Amino acid sequence: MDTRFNAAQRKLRLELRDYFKSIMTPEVVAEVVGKEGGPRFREIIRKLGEDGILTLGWPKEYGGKEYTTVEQLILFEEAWSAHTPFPLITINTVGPAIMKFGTDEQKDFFLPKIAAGQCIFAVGYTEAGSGTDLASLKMPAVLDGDEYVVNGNKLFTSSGQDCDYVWLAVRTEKEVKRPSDGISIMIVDATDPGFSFAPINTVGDIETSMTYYENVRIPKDRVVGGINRGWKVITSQLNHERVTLASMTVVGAKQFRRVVKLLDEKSQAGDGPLTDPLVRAKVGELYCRLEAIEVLNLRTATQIEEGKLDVALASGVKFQNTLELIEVLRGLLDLVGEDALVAYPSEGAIFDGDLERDYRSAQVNTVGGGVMEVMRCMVASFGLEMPNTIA
Amino acid sequence: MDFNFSEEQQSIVDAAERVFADLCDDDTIKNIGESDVPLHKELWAQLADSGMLGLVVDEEHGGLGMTLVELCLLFELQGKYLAPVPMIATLVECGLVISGSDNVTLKADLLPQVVSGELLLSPVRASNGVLDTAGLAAAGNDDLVLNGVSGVVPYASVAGGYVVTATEDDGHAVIVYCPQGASGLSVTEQRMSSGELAGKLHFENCAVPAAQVVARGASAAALAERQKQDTFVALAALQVGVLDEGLRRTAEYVSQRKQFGRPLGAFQAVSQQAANAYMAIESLRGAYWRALDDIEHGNDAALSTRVAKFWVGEAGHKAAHTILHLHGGIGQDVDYPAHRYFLWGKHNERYIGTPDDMALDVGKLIAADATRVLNAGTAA
Ligand SMILES: Cc1cc2nc3c(=O)[nH]c(=O)nc-3n(C[C@H](O)[C@H](O)[C@H](O)COP(=O)(O)OP(=O)(O)OC[C@H]3O[C@@H](n4cnc5c(N)ncnc54)[C@H](O)[C@@H]3O)c2cc1C
Repeated sequence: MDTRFNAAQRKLRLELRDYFKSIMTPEVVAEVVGKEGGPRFREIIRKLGEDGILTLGWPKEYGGKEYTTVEQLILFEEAWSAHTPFPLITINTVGPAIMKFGTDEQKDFFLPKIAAGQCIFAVGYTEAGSGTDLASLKMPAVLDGDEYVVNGNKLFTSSGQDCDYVWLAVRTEKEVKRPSDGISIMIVDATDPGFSFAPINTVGDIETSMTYYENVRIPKDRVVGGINRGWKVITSQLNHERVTLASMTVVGAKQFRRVVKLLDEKSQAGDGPLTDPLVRAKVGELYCRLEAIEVLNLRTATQIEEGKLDVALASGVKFQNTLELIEVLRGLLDLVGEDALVAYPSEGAIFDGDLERDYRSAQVNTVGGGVMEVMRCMVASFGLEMPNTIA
Repeated sequence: MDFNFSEEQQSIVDAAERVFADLCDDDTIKNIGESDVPLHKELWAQLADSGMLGLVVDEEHGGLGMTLVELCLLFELQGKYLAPVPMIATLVECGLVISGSDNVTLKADLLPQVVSGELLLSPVRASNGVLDTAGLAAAGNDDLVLNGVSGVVPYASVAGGYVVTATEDDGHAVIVYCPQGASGLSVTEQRMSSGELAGKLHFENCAVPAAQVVARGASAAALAERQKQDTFVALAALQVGVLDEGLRRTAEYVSQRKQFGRPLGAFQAVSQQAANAYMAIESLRGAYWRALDDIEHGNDAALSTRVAKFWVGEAGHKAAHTILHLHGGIGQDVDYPAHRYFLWGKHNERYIGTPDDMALDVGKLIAADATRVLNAGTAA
């Protein structure tokens, strides 16, 4: 049994923390937090690319450093807690999918650009009528000569407002036994005149977009993984995405440290909040929850690394840790008191509004990356051999 | 990182599993629970025969000299089979404390009897309930005199001796050994909600000769803290066993029983509850493994063992109620085994500290030294 970060991993974390801190000054954070595009956002991503940070987890043959899953988790956690613009979807979903399913030409063209931070993808899966039941998606792609022509809309295309390409899921076959058999993945050039977008503002300040496709033309060689083979491309990246999602719970630990530090400073005089048993019990409870979150994340990361992923555990971690994180952030709001919900840029916003914002945005993961209900269904069927109750 | 027990560790309990499986079928457990002395004597004897009671006793005293890690695997089995024996009390709460003592004569006298299964031991601490607040006081220079009450002493009426933690006049802890039948000590038998035996101990000028002192002063305090930490982890192991098996049986039940023409488990409301229980148990398992890791590697385990005990309660409450509820009416029927997982889960939740107690303890440790959590360089 060895459940803790080793010395090298702790050192790596502190180095990455310093690195991201040096880039993410308070002014920069204020400018880019929650953003999925814009000149400053782009500038930072190019810098990360130049410094080789984006591809630390990639295989060596694509210029990466082959970080282990736990090291990648540390990388994403530190990037995330410093609010660093980090094109997680491009790096951790699209990149690996191109490595696995792309043609040599696609690899040669896209991967170096992604690594350099010069190419950002948006993912266009969700449609107005197809969310959780993604396989029901309808947007058609019709072959016209050497190109596919797409028409329709996608909902919640994050980065859609400032991307170079859209990783688009389309329907290329209607008459199929299972709806997932007629889906293809295609790469849309965002400079195509038929492509446009409109912003969607969200409660957690996370920018996303509605994207529109009007006779957008996609050359045949921009199909990834083959026609009607898209479902496999989509689902094969789930493990990478699990690490991405796991890293997001780090905000709980970050805010906990901050709140404890604040309470501790206020208590140095001898009569501060940390002398109150109610405060102590709350601090203790939150620590207990954070420790469980951390170990669950590390267990999943280690299983991925060893190629022995337990689907029940991985699905369960998604909902369990999201709910625990919300509980932790809620407790931290309780601890800081009535100022807790003062929002940035008001003068009284605690930690420049960071805690308030993190609390507001943590709830998105009860939906994003797989709704909780479906995750629970997977736990019951894979972990307890109960019937599948998703549909 | 490594989230596994080693093959060697696992192989030690493989043999023990057969013993439990042979001797702890549902009917046997039910019958023992209904008997006058709900103690599984045959199991205890078999565990002694196979060397399991000496797992953590050093070789000098006839044991196998292993660690709490191997022992915890045994507690998982005990939980799985709901075996009514004072294994944690005798081996961890008392045995490990005696092993940690400098009193070589006492060790040489008691430990071999633990290994052979002759001596059952019970830990005694001052009550922390609302009824008995008198505490346990020890007075004297070399020979001591004990006074006070302890409310929930596991298996007290069948134990051959007690490891008692009391407080001296100067506020320091002292740990002594007190055999059953000592003059000035009386035991009133009690039954816990789980059906397990317990006792209320009254000490009235009970004399304890210096030869029976296990530890005094700073070493007593350290040993008492160590006793708590080890017990928290042991209870986590036991609870994992109880809840895993209870939920596995529940899943089997709802997958086979049909209502409205389909298995109950095919209803999403049922699968959702089962999944919540499943993940509460996984959170407990993670916290338990981390605490065990700390103990195994000699790290400071003051926080992580309390975190584990917090989750014993948190998961115990959530999963235990789900186990009972998803069984419907038959879950309430004491002729059917499901209720026992509920009762054991709830017992473990409270024994030597509720989740609130643990949270407060952790909070106190952090308040005393915030750098414990601020400078860790890890996520938390
Ligand atoms: C900030 C943000 C960013 C996003 N970014 C992207 C992106 O970049 N690309 C992209 O393609 N999509 C993106 N999404 C979309 C996201 O993936 C979907 O919102 C998600 O898949 C859920 O689909 P839906 O919104 O249609 O919810 P619905 O499917 O309508 O579900 C609504 C609710 O119904 C319940 N429910 C659903 N299915 C079941 C079931 N089987 N059993 C029981 N209950 C159920 C759940 O409570 C669920 O929350 C983003 C969403 C947000 C909010």
